[in-house]
Amino acid sequence: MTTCATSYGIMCDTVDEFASDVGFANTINNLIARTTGIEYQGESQPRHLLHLLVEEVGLDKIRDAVINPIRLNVAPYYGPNMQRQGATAGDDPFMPSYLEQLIMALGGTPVDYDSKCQSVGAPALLTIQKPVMKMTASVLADAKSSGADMMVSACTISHSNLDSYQSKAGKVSGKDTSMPIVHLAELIAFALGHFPDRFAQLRVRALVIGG
Amino acid sequence: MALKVAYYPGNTARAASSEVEDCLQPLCKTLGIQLIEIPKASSDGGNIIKQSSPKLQHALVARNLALAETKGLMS
Repeated sequence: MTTCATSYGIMCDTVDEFASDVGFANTINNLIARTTGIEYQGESQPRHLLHLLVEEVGLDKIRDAVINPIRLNVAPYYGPNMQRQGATAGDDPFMPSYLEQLIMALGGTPVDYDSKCQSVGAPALLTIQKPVMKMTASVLADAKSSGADMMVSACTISHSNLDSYQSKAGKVSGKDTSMPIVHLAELIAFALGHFPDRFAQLRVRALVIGG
Repeated sequence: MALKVAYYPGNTARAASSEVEDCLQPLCKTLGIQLIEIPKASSDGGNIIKQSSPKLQHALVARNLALAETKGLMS
């Protein structure tokens, strides 16, 4: 299980390659057997935190455990890696809704916007920064103009792009990108009553200071 | 009964976004998910290594998944 959609996406990619090409799987297994002395048998399957929560823990159990409902307009951000072939679990690859369902279970209002699966170019951040900043800005500006108070990301690497680089993205693109961004794990922890001080800061940032 | 899963934090949760890891531990405790960290797991290359060596990318990922298997964990 991982919290990062990018990690999860590439794990699914490897599992797919192993299943579709036995020769390739043997080459890779020989390589890791030489260095680590173990082989991947295909028994252990990757899971993303979001899929684990919705499919195995269940939304009802999460809804019952909520202590501090979110009560904000939350823009869900999936990122592209979770929508690739074989990586969507039981969710719809073209119009995913797990994150929206989870936001509702936590007492928030999901915001519908077009860029929820659009890439923010995270792996290319260090090599082609300007286009990456423009991609980041376009997702943020879209969510903002659709009425979001804040955004929740299902991917740790995209989360750091959307959060830490948002002012730079705003400067490069000239768009309005200022918005609080949290990761999925943070939003759930806040709703379940952990870190009430951080949650209070987030609400002040979203509702009083605003964009 | 607690749901047992192998936990792979990824590079970012242990570096730039430590708040994710902070929050994940208490949230899993509340929901009855037992996180078992994969021993000696490495970076998975983050699709960046794939640009120069797809083989290395898949080897890093397969190694992490194989390590989870040695713990007898399915996901």
